[in-house]
Formats: sequence, structure tokens, C-alpha cells
Amino acid sequence: MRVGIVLGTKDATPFEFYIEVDNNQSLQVDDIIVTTSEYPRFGKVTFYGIVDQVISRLEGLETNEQARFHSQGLFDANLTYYCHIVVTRTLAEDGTSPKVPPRPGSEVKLADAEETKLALYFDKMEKKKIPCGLLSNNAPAYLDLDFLLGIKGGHVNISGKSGVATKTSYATFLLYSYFSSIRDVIEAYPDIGTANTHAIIFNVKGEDLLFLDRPNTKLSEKDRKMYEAMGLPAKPFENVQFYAPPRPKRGQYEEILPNTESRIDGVNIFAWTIKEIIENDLLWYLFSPKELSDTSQLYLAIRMATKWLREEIESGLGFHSLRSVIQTLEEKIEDVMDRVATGTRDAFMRRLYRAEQEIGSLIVPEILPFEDIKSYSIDWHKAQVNVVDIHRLSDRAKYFTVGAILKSIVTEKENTGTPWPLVFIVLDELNKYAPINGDSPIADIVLDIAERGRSLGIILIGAQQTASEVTHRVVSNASIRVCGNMDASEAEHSVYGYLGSLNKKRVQYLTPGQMFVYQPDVPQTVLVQFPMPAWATRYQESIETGYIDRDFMVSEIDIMREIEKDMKKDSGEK
Amino acid sequence: MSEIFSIDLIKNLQVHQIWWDDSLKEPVNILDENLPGEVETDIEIKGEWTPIKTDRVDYRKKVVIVDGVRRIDAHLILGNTGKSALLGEFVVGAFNLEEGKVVKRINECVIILPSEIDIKEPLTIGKAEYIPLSTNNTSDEGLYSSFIQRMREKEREMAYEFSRNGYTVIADGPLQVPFSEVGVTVGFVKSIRRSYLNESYWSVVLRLKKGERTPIFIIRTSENLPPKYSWYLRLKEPKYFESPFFGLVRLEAPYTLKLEEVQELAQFSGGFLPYIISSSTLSSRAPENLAPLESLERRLRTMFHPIDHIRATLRKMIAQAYKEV
Repeated sequence: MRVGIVLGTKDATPFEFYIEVDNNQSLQVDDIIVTTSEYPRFGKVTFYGIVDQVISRLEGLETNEQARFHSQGLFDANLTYYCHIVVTRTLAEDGTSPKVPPRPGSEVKLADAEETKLALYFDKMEKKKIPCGLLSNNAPAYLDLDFLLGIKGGHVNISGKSGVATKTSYATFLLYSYFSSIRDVIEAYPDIGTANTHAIIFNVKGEDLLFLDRPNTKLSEKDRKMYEAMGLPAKPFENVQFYAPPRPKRGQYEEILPNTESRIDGVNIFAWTIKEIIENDLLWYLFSPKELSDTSQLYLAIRMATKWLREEIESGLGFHSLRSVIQTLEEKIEDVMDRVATGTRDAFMRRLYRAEQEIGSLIVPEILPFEDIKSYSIDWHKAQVNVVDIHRLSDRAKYFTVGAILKSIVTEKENTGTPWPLVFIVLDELNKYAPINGDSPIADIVLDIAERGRSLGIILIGAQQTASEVTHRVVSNASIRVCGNMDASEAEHSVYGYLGSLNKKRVQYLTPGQMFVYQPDVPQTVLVQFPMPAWATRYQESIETGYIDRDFMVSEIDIMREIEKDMKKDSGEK
Repeated sequence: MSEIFSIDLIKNLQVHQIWWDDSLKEPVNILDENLPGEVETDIEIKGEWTPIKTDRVDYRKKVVIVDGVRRIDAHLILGNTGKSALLGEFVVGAFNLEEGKVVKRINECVIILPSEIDIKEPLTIGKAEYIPLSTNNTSDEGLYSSFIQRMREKEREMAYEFSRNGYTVIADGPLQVPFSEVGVTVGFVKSIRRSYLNESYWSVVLRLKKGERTPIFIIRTSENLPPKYSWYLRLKEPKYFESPFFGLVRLEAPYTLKLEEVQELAQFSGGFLPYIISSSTLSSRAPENLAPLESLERRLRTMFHPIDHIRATLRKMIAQAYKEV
């Protein structure tokens, strides 16, 4: 459909030009257009571009007074409506990309579905792509898997304001798109089998992700159509395992329950034994990054404590809790830390006490009475998607959980020596784990994944409110950058250079579901819209009935509490 | 083809010198207004004149303003005769007050030649085709006068075309003959250069307040020209430091109209035109230049062929013509 002509009053270059829109047409920002010009040497050259600014003005007027006369019908002026175009691709008939400008006066058309693919290089991706949302013309946009899976590049970094930018929803949507397209993916990359890709999602906000396996019964028709347009089924995730921390302050003989409110069935518990902590060298993660950077000597104390605990465990001593470790250590501190200054010892013990208060509940005895479960460690091989709920944990407990899980994955990958199976890690609040300033074991492991993850088969889908507060090396290692709603002032940081100057101003106007997506093969950042999750994000969405008792959530919790009480009573009687 | 012909034409005309001067002003003794003749002042009011008030109206339905703009492109010195030809371009157009925009524009390029030179084909310079016209008066003023006359003729044709379609036309400048082919057209004369009235009437003219007009009078200029109705109108009152002629215009209507029709036009002009004047920031000829007139002239000027291109091409063509000699 013809929409206008290439303007001749402003410079047309191979990289940008202007078009004047026909009177009976309109163009908006993000529209994709196409125009052709004949050139000696190159023949017919087709130019593809994206509208990034639209301008309207009364041409030929010099003063506001004249414009006022115009509004009174006393002054004629040319009402012009023109657009700035960023060229995404030039294509000659022989497939080359000559860098010539479009000729002024050339007819400009809106790109159709096929031309959209060419404009954004989706044709080059062949089957190595997954849908990542819909463009303004409702055509699907794709991510180049070569840049997601670590072939040419890897990792995704998502920025945006909490709550409005829908970062986690987009990360989950990308995973959904990947797993839904897995047949095509395997065809394109035969090394990947269905079972050979896993995902670990750290759930940091609410219990939104505890219903990934249940359909969203409130999904609107519009959203269903969006899934259809992308060739994706509107279904929940098929193979999901949920993990939550145990409930705190339990009695020694009490059954361990997951610390969740809206769902308990099918939720596994994750916890560590002291033995696991020592064997995997996780004692570091009991200390917050700030504590470690404040007292440099603490590193020595931790190393010596680990060494001592390892020897104790090897000699057959068992620790049931962190408290028991502390008690034993207090008695033997003189021997264990003879090379450590008294002040540092005290600092170490003080911090260990605090860690016990906050992380104690994540530590379980090695042998549990009345318990069938052998281990509370996370086995991500068992499911396609693993949700690890850490939203109720304190910051210190989050550091420990994230650090311990990431470290175990890296260690395992290093030991197997192969990138397969691939593991996606979805981690929000990167600014907490890998802040721009400060060094810590957790920052090291995140950075390690960002830098070496591609070769280890670990793909980080990281997110944060402000990328300017995250270590640059983590962000810059992400081939695919995504940005949702955020403050315009934040967007001014150089880390968002991929947005371009006009999009930087637009970020504050993005609505939930809208994302700017940048990938290395496409020279222009594109705006995509992705649908509401096809899976439930809370209990109400997961059930069919239209009417939901307002107090339902409370009553379910009450039932859980009743069960707890009964169990206490039973164990007391015993 | 036409360029080759034009180069031949230049050779035949023995054009050996061209000159242009961007500061060239219209020769001062070329006046649009005819010499004053007999004036009848008692056609609307018998006896002593008093200013006539008008009620403000905003009636724009089927009202157009017609005007033209002109530009001298070059003078050509022809052979050793000392005679010259004038190359000029004009654009005539109409501003429709109902639609608030310029609705018609035509442009024409002409070459004014001494009458003894007889050529039929136009002189093509770039994309501009200069139509040959003859004049007996070969002075600069004569050439220029013919040029203006041609533009006036086109203005009148356009005004008449609108008038025949039921429009009321406000035409810039005095009415052009034949009045029988003018229709309902009001001539809008901005500059008061000739006084058609006796001094006794001037006290009334200069006393006019905004929106007030004089009674209608009839001007008979010569036996060759038909009589026409006229009246003075104040568009804007002068401040104490401004000339009493400030904001004063004279309007004309063809004698072919009935007096009642002319009275209606006069009342309309007084009730409407003072409210569509331009400001000093908008036009150097404010307030007499109406805002739509200023707008129309600006839009018409954009239709001129690019002057630099015309002159460069002409210079090149003259060079080519003599290269072959």
C-alpha cells in the first residue's frame, strides 16, 4: 500500500531519509516501509526502513502569527506530514547491499509480511529463530537463536521499572516461545534434544510463577490472537517443577513444608545440609557482599572455617544445623583460627550468628526422622522448567540460594565438559548480585556465567531495574538487550546506547507488554508487544469458575495452618 | 529540439549582452491608474458627503481574492540596434476565503520584443518557455508596461471565470477592461496615487474611521474607457504619527452592475475587509495588504522557476550560440 514519497528537500542517505506522507494516508512511529530506486551498477535497489519520528507542520509559514491567520482561514500554508526513516537494509537484486541513497520522489509503501521479514533480517535467521513478540503491523518479530544460544553470542539482558516493565513476564515469555518452538530449534541445532534444554527461574516477586503449569482461564481473546499470530499455542508450560524454601521455626521432628501461600501441592522444598555446604564450598555465600567487602580478613576466616569443617565431617562428625556448627566452632575457635586476628574472629562469629538467624531455616539435618525424602537439593535435570521461589527470603538468604545454585550448575558443567544440556537462568535484580561497585563471591559467579556461560551451555536471562547499576561486563556480554518502561534519565546512560536517541525518550511511555528489543544482526532496535501469559500468574487465574470467594486465599492458608497444628499435636502426643 | 531552436533564435536575435539587476524596481512612472477625468459624486448621496458606517460581517461563501506576482528575469540587448527585449515571469492565482486556501495558480513566462521582430515559437530556457509578445514602445518602460498588461489580462480572465461561476471576486489593483467581462468583481487599489475627488471631498475621505466608507462615486477617465464605480474605505485608523492616508484604500466596481448591487458590495467591503488586514510583522505593505492577499502572493512566488538556474542556462545558451559562429 502506497503511503508517500521520498522527500527531496531533506538529505536522503543510505542510512536515513525522510518521506512525505500522502494526504489520504498516515504513518506512525515503528511502521516498516519499503521503497525502490534504480541505480546504474546495482540495478533495482530496495530500501527497507523503520519510521522513528513523524512530524507535521505548516510549511511556508515563518511566524506564529501566520499560523494564527491560517487557523482563521486567512492564510494558506502547506500542511506537511513527513517521517524520519532509519534504513535497516538495502538490497539489490543480486543480493548485495549497496550503500546508496533512495531517490527523492520514489514511491514508498508499507511493508507487507514478507517485506517485514526482509526489513528486519528474519529471512537470514532461517529456522534459527523464535518469536519474541509482535511488531506494530502485527507481524511476528523474531530473535536470532545464534545470538541467544551461545553460537555467535548469548545471554539476554532486560531493563525496566519494576511492576510496569513486565521484565519477568517477558523472560518467561521468551522461555515459553523457545520451548514451544523446540521442534524447529532441534531441527536447526541437532545437538539440542527436548530434554537437553532446561530453565531455572528465580522467582523474586510474589508467587506469580507458581502457576506456570496451569492455564490462564482469564486470557482474553485478543491475547489468544497474539499467540496465534506468532504461531505459538496459548498454553501453559508443560514440564515444570517448583521449589520453595522450607517454613522457618519448625520443631526438630516436625514435617518440613514449603514456605508458600497460594500453592503447596507439587511444590518441592530446597534446602542444604551442612555437609553439602562444605563439600561444595558454599560457606562464602552465608556472608553478604557488603560484609565481605567491609572486612577483607573475613576471607581468611571463612577459608579456615571451611577447612576445619571439612576435616570434621570427613572424620565422621555430623552437624544438624548451622547453630550446631556455631556452638562447636565457638569451643574450638582458638585452635581453628589461630592465624586470624581476634577482631576478625569476633567479626566472623558475629556475622555467622546473623547468618544463622536468616539462613538457618535453609539448613536441614542430614538424616531426617519420619521422612521419605532423601535430599532437598535442586535437581534441575528432572524438569524442563524449574521455578525457585526466593521472594520470601531475606537478602542474605537470597544471596546464599542464588550463589549456591549457580555455583553448583557451573561446577557440574565444568566437570561434564560439554555445553549440553543447555540451561537458561532467569535472574532478576542483577544490580543486587552483580553491582557496578564491589566484589563478592556472588558477583564473581554471575560474572563468570556472563563471560564463560556461552561455552558452558549456561544462558543468563538477566534483568534489573537499572542497568547502569550493574557491572558493565555482565550487561555488555548479553547479545540481546531488552528494555521496557523506565525513567528517561536512566535511559541516558551509555549502557542504553543501543536504543538510539529517539527511543531513549520513548522508554518512559512504554506500557506493560511493550519492549524494545535489540539484537546484533538487526541494526535498529524494534518495539514489540507480547501477550499476557497463557499460564496463570495467580490462583484465581488458574481455576475455571467465574466467581471467586474474596476470602478464598485466606481460607486456604487457614487450612494449611490447621494441618500444621494437627501435625504438631500428633508429634507432641508421640 | 526546443533548446537547439532556442539557441538558433538567440543567434538570430543577435543577443550579445544580458543584464539583470536584482535591485531593479518597477519604473516609477508606470501607473496602474488612469488619468483622472470626470467624477460624479452625487450618485449615492445628493449634496454634502458624510462617512457611511458599515456593519461587521464575516461572509466568506463563494468569495475569492485574485492577484498576481511578477518577476523580471533578464533584459537582452539585441544586436547593435540598442533595442532590448525583456524576459519575465508572472503567476496569477486565487485565494478562496471559504476554504481558506489558494485554489488556483497559473504561471506564464513571456519575452517582450520590439514589434519589428517577428517570432512565433517560444524561447525555451531550461523548463521555462518564454512566449513571444510584441510592443511598439521599445523603451524599458514600454517593455515593462506590456509585461504588466499581460499579467493584468490573465488576472482579469481568472476573475471573470470565478465570477461566471457565481463567485464574488476581490481583485488586486484597478479593474481591467473590458468590464463586460469582469462580472461581480471589486477592484482593490492599495496605493492612493491619484486624487479623483475635489479637495472639498478629501476632508470626508481622510476623516473616515475603521470600517467607514465614502459614498459611491463614478469615475469617467476617457472616451475609450468605460466608467466605473468607486469608493474609499478605511481599513485601519492611523496613529497620531502616521499619515492620514494610512489604512486607506479605494475600491472599484464595474459600471455594468446596478447601483444597488454596488452598494451591497460597498457595505460588504466595509464590514469585512478591515477585519482581514495583515499586520506590520506579516507584510511590509500592512495594513492595506490583506492577510489572504499576502498569503496568496507568497504562495504564487513559490511557483517561479528557479532564477539562478534560468540565468545560468541562458548564459550558457548564449555562449553556445556564438561558439558556432
